[in-house]
Amino acid sequence: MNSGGLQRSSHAGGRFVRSYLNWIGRWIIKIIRGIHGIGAFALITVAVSVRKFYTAHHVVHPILRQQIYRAGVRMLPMVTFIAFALGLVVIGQSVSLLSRVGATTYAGMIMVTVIVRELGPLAAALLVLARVGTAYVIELGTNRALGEVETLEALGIDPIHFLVMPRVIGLAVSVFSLTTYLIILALLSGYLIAFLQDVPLRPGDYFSQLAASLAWHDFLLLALKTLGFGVIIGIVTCYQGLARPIRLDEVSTVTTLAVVQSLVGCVVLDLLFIVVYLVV
Amino acid sequence: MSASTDYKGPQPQIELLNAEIPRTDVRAEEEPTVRQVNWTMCNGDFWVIAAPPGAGKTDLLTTAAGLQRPAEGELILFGYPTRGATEKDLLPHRRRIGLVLEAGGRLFNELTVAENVTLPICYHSNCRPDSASEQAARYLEPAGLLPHADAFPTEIHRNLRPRIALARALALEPEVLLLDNPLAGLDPRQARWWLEFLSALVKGHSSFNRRRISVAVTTDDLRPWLEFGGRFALLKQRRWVELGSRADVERSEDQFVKEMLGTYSD
Repeated sequence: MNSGGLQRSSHAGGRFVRSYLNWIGRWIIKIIRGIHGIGAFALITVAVSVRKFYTAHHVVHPILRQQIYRAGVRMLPMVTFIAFALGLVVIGQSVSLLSRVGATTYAGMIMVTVIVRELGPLAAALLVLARVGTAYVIELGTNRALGEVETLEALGIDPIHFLVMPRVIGLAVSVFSLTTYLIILALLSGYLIAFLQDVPLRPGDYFSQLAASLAWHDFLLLALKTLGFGVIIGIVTCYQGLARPIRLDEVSTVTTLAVVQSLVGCVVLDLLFIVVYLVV
Repeated sequence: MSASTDYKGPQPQIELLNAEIPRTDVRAEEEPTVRQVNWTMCNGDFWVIAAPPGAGKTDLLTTAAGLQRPAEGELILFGYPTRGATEKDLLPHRRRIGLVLEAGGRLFNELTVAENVTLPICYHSNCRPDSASEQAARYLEPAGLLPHADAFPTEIHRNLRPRIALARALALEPEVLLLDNPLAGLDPRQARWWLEFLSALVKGHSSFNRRRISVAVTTDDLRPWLEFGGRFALLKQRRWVELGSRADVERSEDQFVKEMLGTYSD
C-alpha cells in the first residue's frame, strides 16, 4: 500500500471514531435530558400531591379508588397465576434440589432472598407495567393529542392533580398490595408443590425457616421498593403520555419509550436496593 | 336588582398589547405566530375574528384565555397583568373566562353529558357529582340537552355535541366566553341556534338571570356573523387587523375580507 492509501485509510478511521464519539455524546445528552424531564415532572407531581391531596377530594378521590381497583383488584387473577408459577418454578425446584443434598434447612433463606426480596416485587411491577402502565400512556397520550388536557386547563382543572396524582398513587398502592399478595401466595403454593413432590419438609419447619430468614428491614425495604416501583411506573407513563404535545401517530412510539424507561427505572431502583440489602 | 342594571359601561376584560402569539400546533414545522395583536375586549362586546384555517385562531384564543402567555407583549386579564404571575395567582382570573375549543368542544367521551357539565362545578366547589345534577340541568336545559343528560357524547347527534362544551363552559359562570369556530360543520338550522344563543348571552340570557356575557368567536366565514357580531377583526398574514363594525366590514375593499364574505370575484 502506498503512503496516499495509508493516509486515506487513517482519515476514514478518524472519521469513524469521531462519528462514533458523536453518537455516544448525543446518546448521553438524550439520556440526561430524559432524566431531567422525568425528574422535573416527578417533583411537580410530588408537590401537587402533597399540596392538593384534599383539594376537590369528592372528585379526585373516587378516581384514585378507581385506579387502585384497576391496577390492583383487577390484576388479582393474573397475579394469582404468576404467584403459582413462581412457587412452582422457584420454590418447588429449589426445595426439591435442597432435599437431595440434605440441605432443606436453607429453604427458607433461599425463598426469602429470591421471592420476597427480588422476584416478587419485580414480577408484580412488571405485570402492572405491562397491563396498566401501557394503558396509561395510550390513554393520556390520546387525551393530549385530542386536546383534552387543554380543555381541563381551560376549565381551571389542574391536569397533574386530576390525571397524574390518582394514577401515580394508585399504582404505588397497587404494586405494594399485589407484591404482598404475590409473595404470600408464591410461598404457600411453593410449599404445596414441595409437599406434592414428597419432599421431607414439615409445614412447621418450613414456616419457621421463613420467619428466621426474615428481618424487620425486609418488611420496610419491601414496602419502600414496591412503592418506588409503582411511583416510577406511574411517573414515567404519565410523563410520556402528558408532558409534551404529541400527535396521535406518536402515541405508539411514546408507549414503547415509556415501557423501556419504566423497566430501566425499576431495574436501577432494584440494584440500589441490592446495595442496601448488602449493607444492612 | 337584576344583573343587567349593574352595567357600568365598557370595562376592559381581556387586553392583548403588542402581543406575539406563540404557536402550539405540534404539526407545524416552523413556529409562525400572530404578531402585533392589539386587542381590547370589554364587557358587552361581541367580537368576530375571521381567519383562514391555520392562521392561529386557536392560539389567539388560548392566549387570550390565559392558557399560554404571549411570546412578546402583554396580556392583561380583568386589569391583572399576567407577566410574571404564578399559575395560582392567575387561576381566579382565568376562571372568569370560558373557552370552547373547536372540533366538537373536545369533550370527555368517557363521561355522560351531565357529568361533562358537573365536572368543573364539582371540581371547584368540591361537591359530589350526584349532588350537582340540578345545577347541571340549569345549563343543559337552555342548550336543549336535558333529554340527553345521561347519554354519552358519542351517543348523541354530532350537531349537538358542541352544545355540551358550551354548557360546560357556562357552568363556571364566566364573564367572557371565547369560542373557536363554533359553527364549523353545523347545518344551517344548528348554526342559527348558535348565533341566536350567543347573541342572547351578550344581551343577557333569560336562563342566566340576564347576566351579560362578552363573547368572542373565531370563524373562517364572516357571512353568518354579520347580523350578530358587534366588532370584527381579521388575522391576515400573521397580523391582527381590526375592521370595526358591520358597516365597516361591508364597506371594506380588502380582497381578503371580500373572500370571507363570499363577494370577491376576479
